[in-house]
Amino acid sequence: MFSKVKKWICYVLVVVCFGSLVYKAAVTGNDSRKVVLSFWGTNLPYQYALEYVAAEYNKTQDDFEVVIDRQDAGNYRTWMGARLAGGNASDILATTIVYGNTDAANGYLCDLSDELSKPNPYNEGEESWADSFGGTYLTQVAYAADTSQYYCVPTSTVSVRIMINKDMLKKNGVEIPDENWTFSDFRRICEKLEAKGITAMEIANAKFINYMVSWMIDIFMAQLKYDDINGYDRNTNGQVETEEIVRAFLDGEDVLNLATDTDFAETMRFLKTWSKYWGDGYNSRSDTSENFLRQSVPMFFSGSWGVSGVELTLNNDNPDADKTNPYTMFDYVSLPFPKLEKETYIDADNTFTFTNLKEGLPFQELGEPSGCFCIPKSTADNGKYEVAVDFLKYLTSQKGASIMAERAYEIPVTKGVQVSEKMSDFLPPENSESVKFRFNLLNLADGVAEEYHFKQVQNYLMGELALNRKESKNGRTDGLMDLIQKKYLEVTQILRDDNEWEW
Amino acid sequence: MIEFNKKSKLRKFNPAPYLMILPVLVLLCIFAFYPICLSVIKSFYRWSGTFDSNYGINQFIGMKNYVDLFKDKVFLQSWLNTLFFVVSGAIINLIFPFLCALIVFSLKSEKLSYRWRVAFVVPMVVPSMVVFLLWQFIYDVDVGVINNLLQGIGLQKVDLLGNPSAVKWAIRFMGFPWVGGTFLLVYIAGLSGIDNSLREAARIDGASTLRTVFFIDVPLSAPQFKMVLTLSIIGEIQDFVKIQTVTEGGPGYSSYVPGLYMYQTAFASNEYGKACAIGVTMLIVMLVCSTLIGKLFKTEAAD
Repeated sequence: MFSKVKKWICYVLVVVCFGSLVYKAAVTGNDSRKVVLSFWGTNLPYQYALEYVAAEYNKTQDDFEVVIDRQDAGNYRTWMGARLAGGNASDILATTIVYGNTDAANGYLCDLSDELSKPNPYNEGEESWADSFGGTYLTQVAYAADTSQYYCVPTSTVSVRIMINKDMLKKNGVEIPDENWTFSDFRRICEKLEAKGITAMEIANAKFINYMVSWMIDIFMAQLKYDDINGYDRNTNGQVETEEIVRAFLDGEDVLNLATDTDFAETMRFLKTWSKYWGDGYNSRSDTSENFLRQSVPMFFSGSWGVSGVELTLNNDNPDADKTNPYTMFDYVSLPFPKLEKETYIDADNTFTFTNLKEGLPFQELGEPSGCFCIPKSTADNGKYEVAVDFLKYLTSQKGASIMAERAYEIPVTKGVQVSEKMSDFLPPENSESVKFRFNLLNLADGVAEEYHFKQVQNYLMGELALNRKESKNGRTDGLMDLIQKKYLEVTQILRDDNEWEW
Repeated sequence: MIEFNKKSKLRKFNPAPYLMILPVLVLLCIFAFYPICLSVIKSFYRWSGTFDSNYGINQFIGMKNYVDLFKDKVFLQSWLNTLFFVVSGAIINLIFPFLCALIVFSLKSEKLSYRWRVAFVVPMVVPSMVVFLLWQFIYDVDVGVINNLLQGIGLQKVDLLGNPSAVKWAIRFMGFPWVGGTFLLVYIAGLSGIDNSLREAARIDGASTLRTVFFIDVPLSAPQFKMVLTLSIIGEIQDFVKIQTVTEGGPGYSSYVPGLYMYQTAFASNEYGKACAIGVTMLIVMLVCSTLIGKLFKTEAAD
């Protein structure tokens, strides 16, 4: 009896193995007409919108079919790097400006500058595809070593805001603030909630990918070092790119020195003082949306890309949704990150004086090009380059961008495209500027350096590291500011030498 | 006469076994020896990972990668953290699975003993990633079991993964009670191999169970202890998946290990040459540890 069962198990295993081989062979046989676009993330509405755009595009194609493939966010760069090095990457890859620069330097990507000078057939009345992009969003993704080359194209821009559960604030007797609120207003609202035992806004700082602290450093520094940062943006395209960051640290007599920079010191001290209100265990928390959606925390610091997840969970627009479910049905508003003031209040014991603060700036928090896509050289080797470019033209056309704006709550960079109503709050204010300089050792194509900054800031916030040498226990050990400056010099010098930049 | 001998030798030579082993040898060379040799060579280069000579960086820099590593405080701290994991892992793996193996082995009923063995081995089929994520969830500061229990009895929350002095212990505690898996089977195999007449003779001479364990089972399981110690040390030095999943080496660099540093250097910074140097350093440490264990704990089986 037992041996019969074993025999049958063996038969089944053989059939399954053989079947899967045949299936795989059949599927691979079809691959030659598939153009695979890979992106990372957990953003389901974004995936569905991309799939919808691909489906619309596929209707116009006889020979090729664009297929959307979602990859894990945490390991995407590793996956992408290994695939590019192995020559078997997907035909179109989601990327960032930094990844694009690194991969272009390694010779993995196709230069799209010729294509950008040709018209986009999906937009009428434009001389070139490059004309499809608004503002300076396209020039910001130019190749760092040669700005006449483009190895990726952007599809959207991002901004960070604070989402507020209106119901929860009202319930606790707190008035809903308006978009001109200051950091002091924000903290006074928080104090009212904290007095009732509620954490007003949690911060996630467990993993580098959380980015919350790095956004805040950039947003604060943008207000405190406004004139200096404008000076670093030498090509005045609204973004301090890799070469400009390198110049800021190495070129000229008045170079940026974070070891002695008073604005950087103030920013870090301010963050540390404020960090006691970020909720217990912020250094081990990697998500804050969950407690916001459960209505245990009324404020949520989020990027524009977070709206889709919130909308998907709240389901406020769905007439069939359970309107009595207290955990998912609530009204919220999103406000800009509160601006600093010359005298910024944190709590009864701590009011910070920012002498160099530039007040009244209509800037968009972040505002850099995002949702970038590149085409690996292996795509051209497989004869799919034309269709990959054509799909990117479709995706960045007014039609494609409108679908992404409406269905995935993206802020498009294509001219003449309206954003979804939900995203109108996230639109840049009139005549606004973006946060030009990404500190945190970002945009230097060195992930280990970015991680180094993140971890040293963690150490500082935990009290494991002093702010600078003067404040260290023995007065000689490097503090956060010294370590960051040293790392900046190390990385920027390598970049200058590798690219043979001379000014 | 001489010619005849040659012919007989030729006749005796049978190439079949060599041919049979050849594919394995070729695959071993391609997938094991070639990468090791390449790593050693590339550890003397500044290399961005590309083989295309027109792009990227592939520049011989001698010992610079190694010199930089030994000046790098992050690298040194990662080895200190590894030392903690190696020592604590060795203690755990030498004691807990052995105690469990003793209990399972000493069960009178063979059927029961078999079932317990199966029960301890079955958890091995659960993917380790699931186990890591489960423990991360247990430790979670907002919704974790531990913090909910603590709050339930009116105590403060503890941030085990966000506290530099607690994080290594929290990671070490993952997998508690550390008894299942390969090491348990190794010990059971070792205990089964001990001649039972020795235990019976000791019992007749009036030895207690504890004395039998200490003077018969433990000394005669020395080859198993040696093997477990070697595998445990190698495993702890190599393992970074658990740490990457749960803490990414944080907070700060409190749980950072060389394997994770190597991975990040290669894939986050494209510094494949430096990553190779980290890998070679790890290889050397593992080789030294294995050799030292071989020399220090000589066993009959090894001799």
